[in-house]
Amino acid sequence: MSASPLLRSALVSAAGVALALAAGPSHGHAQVRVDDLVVTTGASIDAYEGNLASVTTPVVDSTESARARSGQLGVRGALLLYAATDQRITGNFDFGLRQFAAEGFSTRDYTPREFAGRVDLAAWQRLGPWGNVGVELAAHGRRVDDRPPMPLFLQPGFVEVRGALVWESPLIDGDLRLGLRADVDDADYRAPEQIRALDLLDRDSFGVEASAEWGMTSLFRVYTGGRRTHYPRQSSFDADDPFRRDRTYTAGARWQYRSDFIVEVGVEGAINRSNSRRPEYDAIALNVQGATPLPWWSLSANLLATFTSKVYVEETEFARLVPGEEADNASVVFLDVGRPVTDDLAATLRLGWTRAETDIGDSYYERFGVSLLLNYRPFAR
Amino acid sequence: MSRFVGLLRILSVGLSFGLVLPSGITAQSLEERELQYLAALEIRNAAAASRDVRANEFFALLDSLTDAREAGDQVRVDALEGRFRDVGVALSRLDARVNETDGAYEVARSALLSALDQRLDSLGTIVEMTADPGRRDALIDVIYDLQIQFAQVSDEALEETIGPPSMMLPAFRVDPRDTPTTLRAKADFLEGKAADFEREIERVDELLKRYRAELRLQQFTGDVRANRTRFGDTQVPVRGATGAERAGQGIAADTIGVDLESLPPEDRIVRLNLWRSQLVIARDQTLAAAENLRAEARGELRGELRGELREEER
Repeated sequence: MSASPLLRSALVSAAGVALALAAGPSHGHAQVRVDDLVVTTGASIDAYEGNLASVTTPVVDSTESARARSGQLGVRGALLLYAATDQRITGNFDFGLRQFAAEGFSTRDYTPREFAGRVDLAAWQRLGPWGNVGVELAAHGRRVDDRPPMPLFLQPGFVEVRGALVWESPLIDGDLRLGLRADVDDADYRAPEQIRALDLLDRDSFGVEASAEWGMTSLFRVYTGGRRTHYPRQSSFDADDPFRRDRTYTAGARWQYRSDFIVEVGVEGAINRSNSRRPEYDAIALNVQGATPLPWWSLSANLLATFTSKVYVEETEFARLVPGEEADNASVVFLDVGRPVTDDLAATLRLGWTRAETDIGDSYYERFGVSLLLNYRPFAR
Repeated sequence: MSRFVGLLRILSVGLSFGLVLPSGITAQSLEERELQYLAALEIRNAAAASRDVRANEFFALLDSLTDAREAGDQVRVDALEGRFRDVGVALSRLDARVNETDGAYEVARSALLSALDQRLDSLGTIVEMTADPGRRDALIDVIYDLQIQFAQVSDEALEETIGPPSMMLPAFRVDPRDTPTTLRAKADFLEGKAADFEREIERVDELLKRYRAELRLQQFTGDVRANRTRFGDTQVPVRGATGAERAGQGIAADTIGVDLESLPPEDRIVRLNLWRSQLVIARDQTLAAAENLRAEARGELRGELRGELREEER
């Protein structure tokens, strides 16, 4: 992976600020406090449909449907790494392993294995009447072995690093909080010898966002932002400007209500323009989440739905997406029903449906799945 | 006297706190708030003490008036009724004065509790992250003293946060002139206050039940979200987290001086548990005081104990 000079300098600056914040007043040696720790294990059965071509895998299979059983193990946590009156450093991590046994393909059965991990660090400094300023650093990666052909879509492996500088205002009139955010990221896709096309997804980007948020139990957030993304391995077919550069403008609003029940509704629009005509599109996404306790057996239910629509600016008969972007505008519906088993253990039954675009424009695959998940909190009080 | 000891204790805690803490400006601010609180408390207590003296006289007159009526002594009834009315008017005036001083006292107490809450929060996290045993012990001592101070000051502050009726403990004592009827009237009053405490405990229990359910629901939805995004089943990371997903994810908001409902469920549960323990103590103390008064009314208190009570009164 070769990080861009911009990203490198930003990360170095961010690390410097984080260390400066961490140095703070001399309170002796740091000791980590675990705010939350959750170990998850589960099993799933999924069915995939769609006889679709893909160049993301070394083989193309002619099956129209495939099945997969999988088991997963995950652990995530939230840590308080440092705290003083006006400073705070927190960390979060999330690691997972998922093993599939996939069958129904005409060539052979597959046993894909996924490793996924995410670590992020946030340092905040209160500035009194000037609000709060924060630095965030994050690393996110995944690896997939024995990646199967479509329609069993699994994201390809990659490593992504991200740094952000964040400012938020003090509360205005006791309720309103404004925010500004600038971030840089760099993603390097893991391309095995047989599918070098995944290297096309390598990118670095810079984005800014302004937001306003108000309310407590009933929280509103509106935001707008822009992002420039550079794909150093994708051609724009323009001799004067040979590599793909995208500009993405987003605006959205979200309302969330958290009390005896939880409701979240969000809408986000995106306009993507590029020096390459192929990826130019307009998209809109509607996100809805509702969660409530049920009157029977201490059950709770959570319904999560995302519906997206994507319209390309230019008509073309060729592949729309770069291999690996297949789920870029997925529509999903997940219904989770869970209940506590003991004070530190909860069980969840999940039904899921996904409809997502393949790398052939306007072609979609679908996935139906059922999962049983156990979430264990060893430090539950 | 015990009240003065309490005040001295608060002052000494504040001073030692100021010496230990690294942040001098905030410690100074806490000290100022303590002094403001003590001044307001003193004024309010002086008004309340005057009112209590007059209230004791009122009950004594009520008792005498009842006896005179039962004895059919109309001359004595007429004399006592005039006196009873005068004392009643004076008592109302003193009661109004207590209410006036309540305002300044509430403001000062709220400010002090906010400062204490902030300091306890900061110190708690600092202690957990301090490896030096000596410094750790010193900080724990300060936290312990501050917690006592917080508990002493907090019973009404928490009322303000969650809005229950007034829970000031009435300062009724056994007066040598108290007749059994007066003592029973005082005991009735105290038992009524204990019933208020009991109702408040039941209300807090209901809130705790609700907040624990909220916490479970939030953990459930957090698990759902985490398990969905862990393997990136729904979206490739082309654009990273959207602005919508950052809702409410800024630095933890200050948790002082805000409405209880606006706090995260886990913080509400901690505060309500503290408030509940205060209520239980207040209820038990009130019931014990009422029982003492009833025992006195029945003549069951031994002479020496009665003597001790009178000595304490003096």
